Order: sequence, then C-alpha cells, then structure tokens
Amino acid sequence: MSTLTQRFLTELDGEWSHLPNAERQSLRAQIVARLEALIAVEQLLGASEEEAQRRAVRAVGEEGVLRPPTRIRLVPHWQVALVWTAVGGLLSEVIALFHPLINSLNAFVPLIYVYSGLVIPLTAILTTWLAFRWHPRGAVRGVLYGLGIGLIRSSFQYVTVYYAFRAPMPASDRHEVLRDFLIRDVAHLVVTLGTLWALQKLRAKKLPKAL
Amino acid sequence: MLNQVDAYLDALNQGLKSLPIHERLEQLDEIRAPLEGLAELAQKRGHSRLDAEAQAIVQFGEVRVIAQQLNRAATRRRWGHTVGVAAIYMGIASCFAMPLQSLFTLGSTLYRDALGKSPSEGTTVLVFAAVLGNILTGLVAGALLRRLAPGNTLRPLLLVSAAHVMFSVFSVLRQTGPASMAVPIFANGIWGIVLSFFNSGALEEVPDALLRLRRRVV
Repeated sequence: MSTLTQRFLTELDGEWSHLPNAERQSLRAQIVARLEALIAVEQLLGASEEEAQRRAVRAVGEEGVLRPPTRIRLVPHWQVALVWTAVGGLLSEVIALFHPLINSLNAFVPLIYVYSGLVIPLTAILTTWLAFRWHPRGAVRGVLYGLGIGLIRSSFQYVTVYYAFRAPMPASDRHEVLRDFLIRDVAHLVVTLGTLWALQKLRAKKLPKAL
Repeated sequence: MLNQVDAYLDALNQGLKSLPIHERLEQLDEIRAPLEGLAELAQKRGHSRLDAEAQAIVQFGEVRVIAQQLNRAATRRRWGHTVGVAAIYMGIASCFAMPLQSLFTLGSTLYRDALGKSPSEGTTVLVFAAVLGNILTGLVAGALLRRLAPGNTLRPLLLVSAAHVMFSVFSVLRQTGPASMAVPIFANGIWGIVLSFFNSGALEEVPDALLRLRRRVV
C-alpha cells in the first residue's frame, strides 16, 4: 500500500474513532480490499501505479459514508425502559393536547378523572404493547424498570408539592393535589401491570402455536 | 476482464449509492454468492459459462428492482435507528427533568423562605429553577447520548427538536390563556435540546451530513 492509501486509511480511522475497535478493524479490512481491487482494475486499464491509487482513493472516498450508524450501546431492557418512559410521556401529552374533553369540559369535569380514567390507561396500554413489539424478550423487565423510574419521578413531585408549594397553597388544596397524583399513579401502576400480565398470557398462548 | 456477474454487481453498486459504503459492500458480497451458485448450477446442466451467468442474472432479478428493495430496507433501518435513539434521548431527559426541576424548585423555595420573602416575590426564582432544570437535563441527556449512540446523534436530535417545535405550536394554538403565554410554552424545554446538540457530538456530524445531502442533491 502506498503512502497515499495509508494516509487515506489513517483518515478513515480518525473518522471512525467513535466505533469500537473490532468494528473499525473490520471496516478497515473491507476498505483495504476495495482499494486493492480498484487499484488492480485501474492498472489493468493502463493507469500508472500512482494514478491508479489516486483514482481508487478518490472513488472510495466519494462513495464512502464516513459515519456509519452504530448500535445503541445499552442492554435491551434498559432500552425498553427508556423508550417506554419517553413514549408514555409523549403520548399522554399528545392525548391531553388533542382530547376535546380536556380542553372544553375541564370547567366542570375534574381534570384528574379524565387523566386517570382515560389518558393514563390508554397511554399505559399503548406503551406496554409497543414495548412488547420493540423487544419481546426484554419487555417485562424493561417495563418494570420504567415503572420504577416513574415512581421515583413521582416521589420528587410529591415532595415538591408538599414542601415547595406550602406557602402559596393552603393545606387542603395541597392534600387534594397529592391525592390526585396518587390516583394517577395507582391508575398507571394497575393498568400497566394488568396489560403486562395480559400480554404475557397472550405471548405464552401464541408461543406453542408458533413452535 | 469483467464477467457478467461482476458487471451486474457493478450496476447494482451504482443503484445503492444511498447506502453507507460498508453496507453496500456487504450487500454485494451477499448477492455474489447466490449469483455464482446459480451460474454454477446452470453450468452443471450443460450450459456454457456465458449462458450460465446470463441465466443466473435473469433468475436473480432486474438490477433496478433489487436496488430499490435494498435501498428501501436501508432507509427503514436508518429511520428505525433514528427514532429509537430519539426515544432513548427523550426517555433520559424525562428521567432527569422532573427530579432536577423539583430539586431546584425546592431549593429556591427554601432560599426564599430563609430570606423571609412572600410567595409572589419568589415567582421569578421558580421560573429560573425550571429553566435551570431544563438546561441541566439537556446537558446530562446529551452527554449520555454521546456514550450510547456515538456518532449518530444529529438526526435523532433534529427529530426531537422538530417534535418539540410541532408540539409547542399546537400547544400555543390550543391554549386559551393570554397571548404572552406563547413564549414560555415555546421556550420551555428548548434550551436543553439546544445544549444537547453541543455536548452530544451532533455538531461534529454536521459536515458529513451536509456532504451526504449535497451528494444526494447532485
């Protein structure tokens, strides 16, 4: 290999520095093989060695995408937990944003009952189902981790309402808000665990058929 | 001299320009084996090498169709990856946003009480606590994203930004409060995403992304 191709490979190494070593070596080997093939073809076509290398390097450089996608470096159940948390949050906000009941009737329908009775169950069922689609084997553990994360987040909310809002809010209002949060969390927990159980049962039924 | 299989693979290579080079080479290697297998089979049946290769190519399918299918599969995979990384970013952000904002709110309230100020005087401090929570969330989520999906953070972050902007626009359109509420709705959360662009390595990917875009346009 010439100085030019060596320089090119060194540059590629720099571009792929974000990849694990084994993956980088394998990609490098592929590029070297491609370069050698192109150089040979160019030489067969009558180009001098220097010119052949220059053309080969240009061809590989022009066709190469220098940042190939990397695998997400996270174990499946944590992936599920994070995706479940994200999609849950997004879905509940989207449903709340577009649901006509929440915008037009919240003057006389207590918001928390719409949330706990509709938005939360719908979100929990959809996200848990999605988690099973995303990664069937890591879904149960992932959703349970997600529930754990959710409970930790909620506990921060409880503490904030109880302590931080004690000055602007009368105690009765604060207790009402805390009760609403509790209804929401219990609804979320129950519906998610129920969906998880139902999906597990369904999966157990489907597996023998598939086998 | 190039045989027909090589010429076919070369033509296929031209049709797979949207694939990253290593994926393209893998695909071509994967296609070469069955193609050569089919040609050998035809040769065993008594055809000449030239005829056998021609038959194998006809059996395998038109270059344009195969290239289209492979490109479509690659695009689907790329989008799946982008959406997955974006969802993971949002998951990390939502894990940290609530606790951080709560801690800052609690801290600012305790500070306000210690100074003996009234609750109405402390509103600015609460808004500041929320913004600070968002900023820190963005920094933490960006740093974690850099570790979890190195070199592939630009597209997911652009997707998250687009979703945030769309969501904010809908929220502003549907909100019934005063028009001045539009600014905090829009600004809430954007600081974190902007900072994530800086510390997740997304900005380092911009030159490559522009290069790819230019190639696609040309």
